[in-house]
Amino acid sequence: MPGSAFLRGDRVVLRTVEEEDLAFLRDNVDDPRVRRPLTGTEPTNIETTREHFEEYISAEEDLTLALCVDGEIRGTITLFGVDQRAGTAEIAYWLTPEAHGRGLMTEAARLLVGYAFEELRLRRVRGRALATNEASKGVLRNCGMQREAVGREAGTVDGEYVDMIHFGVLREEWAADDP
Amino acid sequence: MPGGQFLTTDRLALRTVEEEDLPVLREYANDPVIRRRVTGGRPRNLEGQREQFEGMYDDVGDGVGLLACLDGEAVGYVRLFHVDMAARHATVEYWVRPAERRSGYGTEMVASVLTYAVEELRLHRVRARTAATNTASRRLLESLGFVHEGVQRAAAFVGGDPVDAHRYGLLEDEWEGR
Repeated sequence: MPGSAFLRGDRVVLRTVEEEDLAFLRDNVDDPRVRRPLTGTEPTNIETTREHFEEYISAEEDLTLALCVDGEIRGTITLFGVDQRAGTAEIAYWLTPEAHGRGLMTEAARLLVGYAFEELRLRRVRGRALATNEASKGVLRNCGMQREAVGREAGTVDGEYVDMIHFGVLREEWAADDP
Repeated sequence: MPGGQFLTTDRLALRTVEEEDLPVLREYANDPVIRRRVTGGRPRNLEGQREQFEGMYDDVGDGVGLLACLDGEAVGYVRLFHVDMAARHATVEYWVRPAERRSGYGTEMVASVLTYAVEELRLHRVRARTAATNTASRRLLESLGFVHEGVQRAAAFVGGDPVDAHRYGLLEDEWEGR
């Protein structure tokens, strides 16, 4: 397995993303089943994936980790927009379609939200999902997030405008909820 | 020589930013009254202001910022940013010179940019975000027909305290129906 484990759960390991992962990232981010829920509309090749890897994935402020099960990468999860002054950040994630429906991302997201509160000492973590994306909304709720706002018709699914739902959790809520 | 007059309202000329405007923009980027409202926390010098300025109008996706001028003097600034031509939405931000508060210039310049966004860029949606404590900004948005879309709890930091951020959105048919 390339990369080093950064956070460990029962079933998933979140490790650093390495150069060997780029083809897997490209294949998934181009896949309509993955990119449409992420509201991505532009193709990406290995070159643009590498640029993204160098500019964002390897950046100091943000943090992207590979979600691995049994040593194999199944998706990524990111903490971005980290504002140390305000104490806030956002999470985003995707899983390769074959890995959906098993609660893997809930486990990963809880690891990363815990890291944000406990290690980065943030006050608040947010996330958003298209109104039609029940699985993603479930992940955010499973992190103790509440629905806070709606971006009316801010996204598109099958050519129709759909709402974007904004969620957020505060440190004290997380601390009270965490077993 | 002032920038090109890109949009016009009853009282204001909305002009492109030119090199000689950078000191004015820097002045307001650093002004405690303004920067605390737009939640900027760091000083910005002329160098930093110039970096923001470079390539400012190269790509509409990077934003469209205009200086609102009255008799050649800047009374405010309004900017569309996060312009996404595929999703057809953008975010709007603005400031008004403290001495010109309650003049209605803010509403006037933002209205002008909304018409540009809907009629020229053909955007479907414009959003805005403001701290709960910024009642002037909230009033401005509501007076233009923005719909209050929710509250992000403790998402901003004003005067040493966490404060809620209010989110607003306006759809093209809501703007055109006015």
